[in-house]
Amino acid sequence: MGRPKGGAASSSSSSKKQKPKPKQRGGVDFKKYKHKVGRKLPPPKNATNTEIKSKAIVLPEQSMASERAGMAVNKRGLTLRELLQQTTHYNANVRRAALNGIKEIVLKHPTELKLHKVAIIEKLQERICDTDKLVRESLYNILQSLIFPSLKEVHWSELENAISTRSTLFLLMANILNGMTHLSLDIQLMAFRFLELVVLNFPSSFPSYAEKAFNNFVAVLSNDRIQLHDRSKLNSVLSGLGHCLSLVAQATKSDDTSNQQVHNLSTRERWKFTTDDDNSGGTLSHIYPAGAFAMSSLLAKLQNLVQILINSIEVSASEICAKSAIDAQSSEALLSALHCLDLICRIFIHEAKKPQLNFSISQTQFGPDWLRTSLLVHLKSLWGVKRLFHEKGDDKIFIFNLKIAEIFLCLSPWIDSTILPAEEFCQFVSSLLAKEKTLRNRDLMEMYLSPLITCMPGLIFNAPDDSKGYLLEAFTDAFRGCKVDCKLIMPFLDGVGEMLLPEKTGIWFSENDSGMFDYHDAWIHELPGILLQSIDKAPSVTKVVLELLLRVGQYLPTVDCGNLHPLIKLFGVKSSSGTMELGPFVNLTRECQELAISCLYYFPSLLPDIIGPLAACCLSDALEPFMLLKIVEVLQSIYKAGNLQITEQLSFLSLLMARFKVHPGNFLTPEDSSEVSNMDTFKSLNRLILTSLSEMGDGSLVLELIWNNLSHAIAQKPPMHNMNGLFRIIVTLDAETSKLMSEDVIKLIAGYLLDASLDLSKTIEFGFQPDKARLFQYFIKPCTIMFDKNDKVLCSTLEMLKSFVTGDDSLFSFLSNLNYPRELSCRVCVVTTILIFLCNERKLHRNLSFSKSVIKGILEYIRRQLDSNVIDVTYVEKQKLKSAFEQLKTKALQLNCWATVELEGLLSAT
Amino acid sequence: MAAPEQLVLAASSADAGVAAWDLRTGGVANRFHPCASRPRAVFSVADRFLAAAQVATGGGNSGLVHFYHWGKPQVAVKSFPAEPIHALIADPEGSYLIGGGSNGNIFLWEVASGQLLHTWHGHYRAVRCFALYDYWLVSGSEDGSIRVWDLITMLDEQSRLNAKTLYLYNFSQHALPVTDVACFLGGIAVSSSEDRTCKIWSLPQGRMLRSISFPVSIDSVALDSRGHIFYAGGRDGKIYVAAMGVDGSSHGSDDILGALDDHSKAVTSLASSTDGLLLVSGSEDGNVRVWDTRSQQVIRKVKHSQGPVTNVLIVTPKNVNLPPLQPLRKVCAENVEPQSVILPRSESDVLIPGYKTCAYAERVLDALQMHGDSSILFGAGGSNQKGTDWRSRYLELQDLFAGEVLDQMPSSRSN
Repeated sequence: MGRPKGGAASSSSSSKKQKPKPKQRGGVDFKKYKHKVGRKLPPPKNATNTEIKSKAIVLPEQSMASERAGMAVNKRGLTLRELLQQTTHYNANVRRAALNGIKEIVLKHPTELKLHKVAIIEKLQERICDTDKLVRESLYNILQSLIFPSLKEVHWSELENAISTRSTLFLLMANILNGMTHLSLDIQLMAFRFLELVVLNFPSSFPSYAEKAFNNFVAVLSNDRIQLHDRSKLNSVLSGLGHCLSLVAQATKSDDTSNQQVHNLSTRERWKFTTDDDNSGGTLSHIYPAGAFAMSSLLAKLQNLVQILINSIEVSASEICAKSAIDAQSSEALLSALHCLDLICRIFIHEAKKPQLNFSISQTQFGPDWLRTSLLVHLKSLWGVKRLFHEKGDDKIFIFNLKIAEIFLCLSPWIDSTILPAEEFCQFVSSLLAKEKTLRNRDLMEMYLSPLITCMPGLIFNAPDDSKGYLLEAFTDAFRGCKVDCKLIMPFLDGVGEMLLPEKTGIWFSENDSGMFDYHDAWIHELPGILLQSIDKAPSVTKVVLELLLRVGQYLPTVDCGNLHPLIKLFGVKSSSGTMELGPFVNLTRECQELAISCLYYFPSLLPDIIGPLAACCLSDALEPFMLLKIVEVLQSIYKAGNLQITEQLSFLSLLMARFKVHPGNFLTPEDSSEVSNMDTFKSLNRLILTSLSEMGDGSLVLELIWNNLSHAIAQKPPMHNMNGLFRIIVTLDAETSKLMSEDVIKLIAGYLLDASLDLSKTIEFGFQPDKARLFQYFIKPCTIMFDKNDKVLCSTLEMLKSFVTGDDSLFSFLSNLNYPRELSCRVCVVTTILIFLCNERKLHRNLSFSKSVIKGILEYIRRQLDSNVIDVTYVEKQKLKSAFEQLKTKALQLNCWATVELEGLLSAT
Repeated sequence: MAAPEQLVLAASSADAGVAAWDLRTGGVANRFHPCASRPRAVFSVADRFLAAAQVATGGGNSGLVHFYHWGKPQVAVKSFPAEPIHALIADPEGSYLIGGGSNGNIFLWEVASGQLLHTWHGHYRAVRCFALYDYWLVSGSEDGSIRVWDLITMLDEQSRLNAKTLYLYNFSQHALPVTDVACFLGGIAVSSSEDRTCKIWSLPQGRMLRSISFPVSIDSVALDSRGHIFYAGGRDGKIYVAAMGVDGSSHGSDDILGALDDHSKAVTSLASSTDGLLLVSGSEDGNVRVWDTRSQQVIRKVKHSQGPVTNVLIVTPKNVNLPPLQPLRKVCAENVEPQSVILPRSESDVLIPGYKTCAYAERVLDALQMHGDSSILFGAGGSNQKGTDWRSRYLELQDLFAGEVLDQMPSSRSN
C-alpha cells in the first residue's frame, strides 16, 4: 500500500504549517462586475457525475505496542516513551512540542513520573545544551515545577532509591558543567540557571562539583565579551553564585557544631542523612560536613572571584553614578555582586578564625596574613565605591552603602588603619544610622539594616575613644526612633542587651567610661515604653523586653528606677475618678506574667507605686490562681529581703483577704452552676497569707500594725468568706488580743455568727445537713478559738445574741443581711443553732459556764414565749420554738455547770 | 574509744545561739552563744571547729564571723571581714574558708593563718549559697545567677590573667534569687530558687540538664547520698522528694515523687546524713526534725527556739590539736606565701568497691606525686604548666565519673 496523501496522521498534526493564503491580487485595471442573472441551469439529466468521493483511509494498527486504550497518553495520543524519543528530534519545534507533551502527561498521570523518573531525567538532561532557546526554557520550567519537587517528595527509605537519584544527578551535573563551557553564550548563561536550580533543590549534591562550578563562575564573570555587551544577563549568574556561596558558608558554619555528630555516623548513615535532608525541603537547614568541600582549593578559587567581583562592582557602580536614573537591572546586579562578596568574606573569616592545628600545613596558608593579602587589599577599592555613592541620596544607593558597611563590619577585627581609617568608618556607619529615619521603603530597609545593627555593639567596643561618642549617639537616636512593630526592634534590643549586660558576649566596657552610663540610662528609659506598646502590637517583643528588664534588674543593682516608672502602667492606672483601671498585665501569657513579677523583685523602689495596681490585678477574676499565689509569694520574698515596707505588705495582704471574690459554687448541683467555684484558690490563698503573716515576727506586734487595716475591712462587712479570713488573721496572730473587747467588734462578731447560722438554721428542722453543717463549722472556727482564749469576748457576744433573741432592735443595724427575719421563731432558731454548735466544742465548756446566766436567760425567754399565748404565733412556729428549746436545753445540761435548783423551773415547765 | 558521736547543729537568725544534739539519742550536747546567722552561713570547718557568719547588726559596714571550738560554748575567735558575709563554706580538708558577701564579693581565706588570699567580685548582688565540688566552687546569688569558679585558677594570678572570664560557667536560667545549691558525684549540681524551680546542672558539661517546677518557692535542697533523688524544702512547710532523673527519660509531672509534711512553716534548711538514712530539716517554726528517709516518718523532733531555724548541719566533731585559730583578715596581704595545713585523715581513705574510677584516681595521683610533692597543686605561685596539666587530667576523671553516674541512673530507677 502506498504512502497516503498528507503523510502519517501522527506527525501531520504536529507540524501543521499555517501558510498565509495567497492574496487576491488584481482588480486594479478594471472594475469587476458581478452579474447575477437568473437561476443557474440545472445540470442536464444525462450529465456524468464526475465527483469522486472516498472515505477516510484507516490504516489498521499492526502492533500491540500502539494499542493505546488505557495507556497514559497526552492529548495527541502519544505515550511518554514516544515523547521522550521525540525530544532528540532534529526539528526544534518537535522537541519543544515533545517537552510540552511530557509536561502534560506528568500533570495528568503523576504515576508515570514516579515510575519513570530516572528515564525521564536521563533523557531530558541532554536538552540542557539544546541550541533552541525556547526548548531550554521549557525544560527549565518542567524541571523546576514538576520533576524536582516530585523527586524530593519521594520517601528515600531505601538506599537504592537514593543511589539512583544520586547517579541521575551526577549525569545532570555533567551536562550542566558541559553547558557552562559551551561556546554559545546563551547556552552558557542558561547552564548557570540550571545549576542554580539544582543547587536550590539538592544542596547536598553540590560539594562534589563545587570546584568545577566555581571555575566556571570565574570564567564567565571574567569574560570580557559578556561584560561589555550584556551585563544584565549576568544577573542570573550572580544570583546563582550567591546561592552556591551561601551553601559553602553554611557548610563552614555548621562544620563546628555538627562535625562531631556527623563523624560518629557511619558513612552509609551519613549518606542517608544528607539525602533525607534534601527531602525535608527548606534550603536553610542542611547539615553536612564541610569536609565535603575541598576547602583549600575552593578558597583559592574564591580568591580569584574576589578580584573579579570587586572589579564588576566598581564598573557597575560607576555606571550607575553616571546615569541619572537607576535602572532595576543594573542595581540588582550590583546588589547581588555585593551579596556574593559578603558571603565570600564570611567564608574567609571563618577559615581564618579556625583554630589552627599544629601539624596542619594550612596554618601558614589561611591565617590572618593570608586574609589580609587576599581580601583586604582589594577592599580598598570597595571603599572608593562607597565614596562614589556618598553624594547621592537615593534609597537604592543607601542600600548599597549598607551592604558595603556590612562587609566592612564583619571584617572589622582584621581591618587596621592602614587599609582604612577607623574614624572615617565610624562616621560612615553613624551617618548611615542617622539616615535610617528618612527612608521610604521600610521593608527593604529593615532587611538590610538589621545586620548593621547586630554588629553595632562590637563596633562601638572596638572604636577609638573619640568616635565612640557619635556612634553611641547615632545608635541611641535610631533606637529611640524605632517603632515597636518594626522588624528592627529585635536587633536593637539585642544590641542594647549586649551593651548593657556584658555577660552575654564577654564584651566588657571599661568601668570609668562615664559617657557610656548616660546612654545606659537612655536605653533603659526606653524599655518600659516599648514594653507597653508591644503588648498590643508585637507580642513577641514583649517577652524579649521583659527578659531584658529582668536581666537589667539582676545585674545592675545601681540602676535608677525612676527611668522605669512607666512600668506601673503595666499593672494598672489610677484614673482621674479614683477607680483603678487594670493594666494589660492580666492578659499577658503566663510566661510573661512570671517575668514581670520577677522584675518586681529587682526593682523594689517601684513597689510603693505598683502595689495598688498590683492588688487590683490580683483581685480581678481574669488572673489565674497560680499567678495570684505566685505574686503573694514573691512579695513575701521581697519583704523578707528587706526591700518592702512591712506596712505595705500588711495592707496588701489584708486587702487581698478582704476583697478576694469567692464564688462558692453550688453545693448541691455543681454541674449546673455556671460559675466555677474558686473555693480551693481562696483556701490556698488563705493559707499562704496566714503563713506569710506568721513568718513576719511576733504575732501581737504584727497585729498591732495590721489592726487598722483589719478593723477597717471588718467594719465594711465583706462577704462571709472574707470575713472569715479576716477573723482567721486575728486568730493566727494573737487570739488573746484585748482589741476585740470593743463593743463595735463584738457586734460585728455577733452579726457574723448570725449570718453564718441563718442558712443552716432555716433547715434545721429537716434534719442534719452535713454540707451546710461543715460550712458553718468552717465559719465558726475562728470565733471558737477567739472564745476559747478570751472568755470576756464570749460573754459579751452571748449577751448580744440574747438581746437579738429578745428583739432588741438596736442590733439589727449591725446585721449585714437586710432582709433579716423578724419573726420570733427564726431568730430563736438562729441563736439556738449557734449555741448548740458552741456547746459542741468541748474546750469551750469552761468559758461557756462563765456565762451560764445568759444562756439561762435565753432559755427562760423562749419558755415564756411558749407559755404565753400570743395570738400572732402560729402553731408551726410554736413547734419550731419548742424543738429549739428542747435541743438547747439538752445541750445546756451537758455543760455540767448548773446547780440542780437553777434549771428546775425550766425543766418542770415542759 | 566509742564510735564518733554525730551531732545535729541548728542555728537561728534570731539570736538563739547554735544548739547541738546527739543525732542518735537526741540529748542536748552543747549550745554555742551567741550566734545569729543567715541560711547557709554556718559551716563546720573539716569537723574541727565551727564557723558562723553573723547577721549584720545595725551600724558598721563590716561583717562578723564567729569561730567556736567544740568544747567551749563561747566564741573562740571573732573576725571582722570587709562586708557582711551571707554564705560560708570550707573545703573538706579545712584549709580554706570561702565567704560570700552582701555586695556579691567572694572572699577566700587561708584558715591556718587567717590570711585573705584573694577576693573578687563574683556577683552583682548578694551571694546566697555555696557548694564545693572538689576544686570547683559553685556560688548562687540573689541576682539569680549561678557561677562556677575554678579555685585553682582563682588562686593563681597568672592563670587569672590568662582566663577570658574569671568564672568557668555562668548559668542565668533562674529568674529569682538562688536559695541553695548542692553538688553530687559526677559534677551534678542541684540548685533551688525562689522562682519555684529546682534546676539540675552538669558542671563538667557546663549546661542545664533539666528543670523541675514545684508548687512553691524552694528554700533548701539536700541530695540523697545514693543520688537518684533529692529533697527540696518548700515555703509551705513540705519537704518534696524529687527524682533526679538525669537520664532524661522522664519529664513532666512524675518528677515530684512525694512530700514529707510535718512542718508548719517554710523549711529553710536540710541536711542528709552520709549513709542517706536520715534527713534533718530545720524550719521557720523553730523546730528541727529528724526523718527516716525510708519510712518517711519523723523520728525525732526538737525545738530550737522561738525564732526561725536557718541552718542545720550534721557533724562529727573531732577534737584535734589545732594551731591557734587566727581571725580572718580584712584585706589581702602583699607577698604572703600561702601555706596550707592538711591534717591526715586516714579514716576517709576508704576504697569503694566497684568504683573503678577510684583506682584510676589513685593512679593519677601517684603519677602526680612522682613529679613533685602535692603542694604544687595548691600553691598560688606554683608552676602554671603543672597546674593546667593536672586540671586536664582532672577533667578527664570527672567525665568518667559523670559517665558512670549517668549510666547508673536508668537501671537504678527501674529497680
